[in-house]
Amino acid sequence: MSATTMTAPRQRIPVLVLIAMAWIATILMVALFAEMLRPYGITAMDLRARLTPPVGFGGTIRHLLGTDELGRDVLSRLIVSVRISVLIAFGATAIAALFGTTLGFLAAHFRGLVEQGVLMLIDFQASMPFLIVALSVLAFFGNSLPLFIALMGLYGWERHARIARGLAIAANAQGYAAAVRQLGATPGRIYLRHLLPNIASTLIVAATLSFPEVVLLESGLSFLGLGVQPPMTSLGNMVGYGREYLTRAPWILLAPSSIIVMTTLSVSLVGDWLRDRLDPTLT
Amino acid sequence: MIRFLGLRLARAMLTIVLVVTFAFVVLRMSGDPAMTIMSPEAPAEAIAAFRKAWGLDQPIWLQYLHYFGAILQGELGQSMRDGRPALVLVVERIPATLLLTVPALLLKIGLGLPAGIYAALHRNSLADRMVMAGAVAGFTVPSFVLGLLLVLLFAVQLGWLPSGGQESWRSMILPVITLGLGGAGILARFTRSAMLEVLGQPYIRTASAKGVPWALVVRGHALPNAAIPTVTIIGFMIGSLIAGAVVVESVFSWPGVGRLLVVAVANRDLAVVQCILLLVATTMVSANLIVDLLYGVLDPRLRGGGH
Amino acid sequence: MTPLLEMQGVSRVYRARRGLFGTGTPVRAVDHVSLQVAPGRTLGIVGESGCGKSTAGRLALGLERPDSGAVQFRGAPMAAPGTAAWRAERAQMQLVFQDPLGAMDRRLTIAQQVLEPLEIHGIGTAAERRERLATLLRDVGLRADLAERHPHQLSGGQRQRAVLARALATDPALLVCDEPVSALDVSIQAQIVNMLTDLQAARGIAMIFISHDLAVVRLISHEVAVMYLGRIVEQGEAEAVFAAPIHPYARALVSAVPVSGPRRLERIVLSGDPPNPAQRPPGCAFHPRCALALARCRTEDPDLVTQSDGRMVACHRAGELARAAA
Repeated sequence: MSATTMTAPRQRIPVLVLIAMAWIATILMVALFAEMLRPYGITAMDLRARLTPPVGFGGTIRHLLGTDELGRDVLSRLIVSVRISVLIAFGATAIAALFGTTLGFLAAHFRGLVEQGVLMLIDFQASMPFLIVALSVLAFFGNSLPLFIALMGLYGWERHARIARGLAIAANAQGYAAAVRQLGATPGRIYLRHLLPNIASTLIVAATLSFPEVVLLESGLSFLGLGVQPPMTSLGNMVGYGREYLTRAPWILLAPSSIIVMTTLSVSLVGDWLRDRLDPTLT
Repeated sequence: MIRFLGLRLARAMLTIVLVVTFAFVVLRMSGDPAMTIMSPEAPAEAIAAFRKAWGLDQPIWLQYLHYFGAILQGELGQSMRDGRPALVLVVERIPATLLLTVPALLLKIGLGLPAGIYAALHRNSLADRMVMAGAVAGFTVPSFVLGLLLVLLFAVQLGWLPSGGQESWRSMILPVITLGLGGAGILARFTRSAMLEVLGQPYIRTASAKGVPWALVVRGHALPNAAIPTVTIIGFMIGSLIAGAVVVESVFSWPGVGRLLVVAVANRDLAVVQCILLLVATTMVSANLIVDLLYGVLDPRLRGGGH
Repeated sequence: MTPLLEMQGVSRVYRARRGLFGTGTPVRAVDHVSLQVAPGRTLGIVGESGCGKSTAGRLALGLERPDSGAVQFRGAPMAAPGTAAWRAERAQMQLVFQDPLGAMDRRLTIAQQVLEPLEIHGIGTAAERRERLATLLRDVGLRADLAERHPHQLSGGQRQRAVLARALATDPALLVCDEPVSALDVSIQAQIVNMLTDLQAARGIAMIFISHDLAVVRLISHEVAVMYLGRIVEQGEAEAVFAAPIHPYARALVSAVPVSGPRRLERIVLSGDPPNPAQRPPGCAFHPRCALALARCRTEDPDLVTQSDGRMVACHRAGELARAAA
């Protein structure tokens, strides 16, 4: 935070945004401490208690959110799924931010052909539905968690690249970047010490805008059975699996679905609010 | 105008070339085709013969050119599963997909555009807030969740509509609603912000200050100008008519292109995947091209300049 | 004395491109300009906006490379921009900007920014730098307690002093000041100009002072060059030029400066459109706005000719105008 925001009069945070923040914090806690929080192992089967409904719908306290058809505890699977989905979304968003910002800076620094190349890639990325591209890559390469995270990391980089390029060009043309350059600073110093901290808040807002989209993408692919592979589990994975038991045990599906919706909604709300406060020009 | 057209065409071609290159690079990086297709135990001579037959012993750039040439001639390979040409497999699925995506597109436009315009004209009203809430829900609720909830409600609980399949027109209702609602939310949000931006412009205030009736200001000035950014997003929606229903088709077991793609990816049926990828790219690029031309009609200022 | 910086017949052409493949008309931002600055001296460059004076300053600093002609610093050509040698050279020459707020990183403290050149060029230990900071702030007249502030917490004058402290950190031999005071209040302008004069006297810095404000340039310059559409139209000792300008354009500029006491020149109001560098008139570029233009001025481009008093003027009527002024 710069001193401007420190000294600016504090605006009241809307209640809805506060709730969203609390939800995000809870989800992060669950993701961090998943191994401690889960009551059972995700593959532990309780064969005598298969398809038990959640507490309040005829279930018992032993399985708060019920069990699936193998008697696995839904709550435990949910907690671990949150961890995996958050890990993927965070990893992917971080990769996209890093990759996009780097490309944006390269375009701004070298201009000419490098810039044209980056702009062409941005155009390409923006004009192809990412789901189709992702599916093609998965078809060609098969699937593993690191590859999957890397693939998701290709989503949304163009947003960061556009921002980084635009702001870097503006700063290079006039202003502090030009001033530091003529002091004799190396490009590394100009971009990392001066430009990056100055545009960080904008980049963070952009990241909060793509984070929920990555969650949706990951859960969509996992739902299709092409994302996170069993025995690992993710939120989309659980929904896809629970779909078979839609009529008999809807809780298997409803629990992860509501987590996905609540999380994407919360991050979007906080992201919009951050954007309005920090950088209303962003789309 | 000619220059404008030429530039747009060149850019469209470039995108197609990029997609083909992407497919080639991914195909080559994913492993040695000789090893993928022949079993690893095959005798060395057989593998060598296969390489020669497929031109795999040639330098990579020559392979690239051959690959490019084959695609230009419409040779997109055979499906690994039943040996039929991939293109035929894909094309015969297109009508089924369009049966979902075209009504869904109409639903998106019919719902999203008026909602967005109304919300912008009645900013901060209750209706505006409801439209915005609906719009946010439209893109934070994943389509598979929405689809399954609809199935749970209308098929399982109420028993009004079938949960899947393609038996009658009634099976179309749930997938079309699922597809349409999410897109309508996105479109409403987009239209609203485009309208708000236009309404804040000086020429609108001037026109209204000159005593032009508000309805005329909106119809004569605001709507045409707000149409420009909105056309972009509709263009993207048109571009994804063919492959925009991947998830929804899977939810409702609808035998369209999206379902084919998911099955092909799961089976690593590369020819089919590649064929769909190129088809989607071509549709997308064509749709963008049409949007660009529409821009030229909507905004004469764009015709001259490079932007 | 040998000049510290010498520009010989330097030109810089921009091509204003329209669109991706458009070929624009070349704009000669700086056209055959020759200048020199000696240590401890100040050269003022004056002219309307768009006359190329800022580009001339950037060429002098080696921030841009000329398309033709040569720039020599201490008798040697400048390194190519962006190279390590070029970066090392920066310690010896510095630019002071018009907009001090824009020239500073708003996230860093004054102390961090003033010391940044020392960090970049690896000068001094931590203790030496702290000492250097105190000296620099004192030299530019900033209170020591302002060092921990951020740029936006300072006044405009204080910010320009901080920018100056940063420019002086590596003890440069050449300072190019591009409109350094035009964004400041008149009372503060004088303070900064006086401070620059004092600093120059104490350190023997060579200065190029670029401004559209003749009153300020007159205060600080030893020599002055008047630019019009990329060219120098009059150049000479500051006192001589300001007291009796020869070129009609210089006369118009000088006559427009408010002076106390009786006026030596009648106020000349420039007529015609302000110049557009993309459409340079044929002949003498100034002729469409010149009250004294002859038929010859429309076709024939005047050379920069040395007059009897050593001044250089580019005007066909320089001789008679010089006699009339004397």
